[in-house]
Amino acid sequence: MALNLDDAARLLGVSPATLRRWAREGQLGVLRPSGDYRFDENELRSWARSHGLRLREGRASGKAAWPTAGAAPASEEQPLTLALARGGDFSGDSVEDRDALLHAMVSQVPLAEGADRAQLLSQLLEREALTSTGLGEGFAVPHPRTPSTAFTPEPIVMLALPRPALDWGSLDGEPVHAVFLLVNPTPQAHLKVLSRLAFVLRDPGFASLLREGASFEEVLTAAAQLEPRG
Amino acid sequence: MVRLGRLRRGSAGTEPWLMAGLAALVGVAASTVAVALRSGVHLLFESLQSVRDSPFGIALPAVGALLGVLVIRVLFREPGGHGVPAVLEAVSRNGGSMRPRSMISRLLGSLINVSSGGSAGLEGPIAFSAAAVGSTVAAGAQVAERQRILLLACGVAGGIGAIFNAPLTGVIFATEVVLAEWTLMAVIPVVVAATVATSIGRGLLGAEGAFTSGEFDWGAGELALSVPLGLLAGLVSVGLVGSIFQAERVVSWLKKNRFLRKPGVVAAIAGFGVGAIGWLFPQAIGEGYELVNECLNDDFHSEFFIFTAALLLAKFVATVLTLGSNAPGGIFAPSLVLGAALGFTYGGALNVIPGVEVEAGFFALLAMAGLVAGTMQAPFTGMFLALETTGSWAETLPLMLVAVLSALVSRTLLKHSFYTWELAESGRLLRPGTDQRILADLQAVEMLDLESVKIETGKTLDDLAQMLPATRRNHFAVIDENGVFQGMLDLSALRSVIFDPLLRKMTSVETAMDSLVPRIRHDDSLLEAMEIFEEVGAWVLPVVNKEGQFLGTLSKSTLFDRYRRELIVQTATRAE
Repeated sequence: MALNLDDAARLLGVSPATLRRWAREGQLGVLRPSGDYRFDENELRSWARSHGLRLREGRASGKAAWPTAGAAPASEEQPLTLALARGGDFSGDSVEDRDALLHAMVSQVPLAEGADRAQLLSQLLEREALTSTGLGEGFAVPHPRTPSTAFTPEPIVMLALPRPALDWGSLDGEPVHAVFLLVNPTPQAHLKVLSRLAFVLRDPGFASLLREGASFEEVLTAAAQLEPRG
Repeated sequence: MVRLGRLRRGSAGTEPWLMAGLAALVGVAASTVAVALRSGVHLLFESLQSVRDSPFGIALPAVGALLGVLVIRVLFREPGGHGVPAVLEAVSRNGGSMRPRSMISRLLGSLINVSSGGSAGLEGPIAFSAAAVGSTVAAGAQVAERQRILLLACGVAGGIGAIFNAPLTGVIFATEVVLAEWTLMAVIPVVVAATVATSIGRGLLGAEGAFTSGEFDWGAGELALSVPLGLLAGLVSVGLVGSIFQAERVVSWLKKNRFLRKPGVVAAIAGFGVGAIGWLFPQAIGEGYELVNECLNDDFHSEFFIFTAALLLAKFVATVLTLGSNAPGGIFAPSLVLGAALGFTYGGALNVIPGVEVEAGFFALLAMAGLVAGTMQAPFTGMFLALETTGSWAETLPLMLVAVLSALVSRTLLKHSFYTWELAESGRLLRPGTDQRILADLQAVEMLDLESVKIETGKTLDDLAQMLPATRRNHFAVIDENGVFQGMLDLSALRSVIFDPLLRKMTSVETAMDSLVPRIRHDDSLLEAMEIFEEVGAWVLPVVNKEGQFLGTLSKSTLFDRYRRELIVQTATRAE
């Protein structure tokens, strides 16, 4: 297969100007030496191998990316809305306190096949013991201490609107009436979803929907309208 | 010695003069070693003649190989082998340091082995011993690593120059094979050492070359006929080197056996093979210089080429047995003998063709250079060795042709030469000043960012935000209470939460860190570190010790900066 200058340079991990110089100096073989350069891919690969150059196979240049620790999939334009749709809402009897709610939510949240729910619960409680995840104004964002693909391959947000509101140890002392359980595969995904959630919670309309105990569909629709794309 | 110690700081004006003086000293010492070895082999070979003629003669090479290996392995407790690879390793890995006892270990070992009929040469042991002489002088003068390597090469040049009465060959071998560097500052001391050593050698051993050759008449026809000979010499060289290493593989397989593993046993068994060959073809064992003279002077009738072809084969097998079983000795002499036999056979065979009449001795001379050039992949050494040992300067032109063609064939078919094979295969051949060498020299721990910022588990991004004004770093290591590295925080990835006071209080460092980031070990070389950077495309990576404790970060930019500085330092004196 013939490669043009830009593609060949990307494959070798050098700038097109460098590749042009190498070709001019006769360091490597060129299919069409005059005008626009063309390189034979197989020849280029074996040349790189014989020179100990590592090829950049289909990797966007300069972007840090090691296996599995990458950012959330790029196709997700609205990661929060997607995660919320995945997680759904909590449906259960009213519970007495924070730990009971977390316990009940963990048993319902859709996790990866074979995920350790007991482990997730203990991580959530451990995290609450560190400092409360109560954001204030009646919101809480419980999450495990370390995101892991062992829990889920994709970000999950599950909503619970406990009535009566529960004491969550929040900084402002307010009882919590809207709980977003965040379960994420990677730190990047967690930070992304968390910051998006903080963004929509700042909207007074969205906050009042939660306070009034609106249906999950209403909340999801509102989130989709509020969450920025991209 | 105090004055010489200044060399370490390199006073530019006087350094070359001091080096020349030390080189002359090394030359004197190296010639002593060479004269001792040459006369020792001569005397011992002569005095063993009666044994050789007796029925016990067949066992002589075996006894010699056994004793030779025992001297080196048991008496001096040194690894066996041909000698030159050990010199190359000293240059590429050990800064030119060799033990003083190496001055005589291989000398004695090969003296016994070659005198009793082992098919090997003396350049391996002399190069090794004389290199140790140079290294010892350097140690006494307390010079720096670079000068030590140079003095080691001076020893090699002097030793080879004196033992073969071939000063140019000594210089070329030391620069082409040992140093692999051709700069004025390197060549001057090497030439001084070779000159001094060879003059002393000539005074004590006589001024004759090792061989005497007749005068040859050659023209365009002979020149054209040397082309196929050059290619043929290359093929024989490849066959020889390949067979020796194949034999070594067989030997290391044999050494799984408890009895055979004892030092010298395998060499002794191979020595019986050599003895048997010597019984059939007495010319094929020992150094074999007689055979070379006979070929060069057309002492054999040209029709004898069938006989020389058989000798070629016998010598080939004897050499593979001797060198393949790790008996001490070099490949110069066997190459010269094989070349002479090959060239003579070639010339003799040409005479069979009606209308063709050539001097077989002429081709014997050319093929000698060809074989040395091919086995060592060192065309200059091959040319000058053949020229200086025979004095046939009038044949320079066809000789160059054959040497280069043979080296070309050898280089095409073999990745490494006889000398470099073993080292290169195990990644120990690192020429000074080369990219690989610099990358392997520098360790990750030398490039650490000592101001790197760490934060303990259990803290939040809010704590991190408090630390930000005091640092210019963008990457932070998360460690546990024992200092063990847990993960990496990248400020640019935290942008979405770090500016929100509420969210950053909400986020603990473990939740935000990347725990899968690859770690660099403190004793990883720059080469290994670069491979990891390349693999993951990261800019900053953590360095940890054996216990996994965090030592500091390493950034790609520091790495390239240090690499550049190291390059400047390691190549600076070479550029003069």
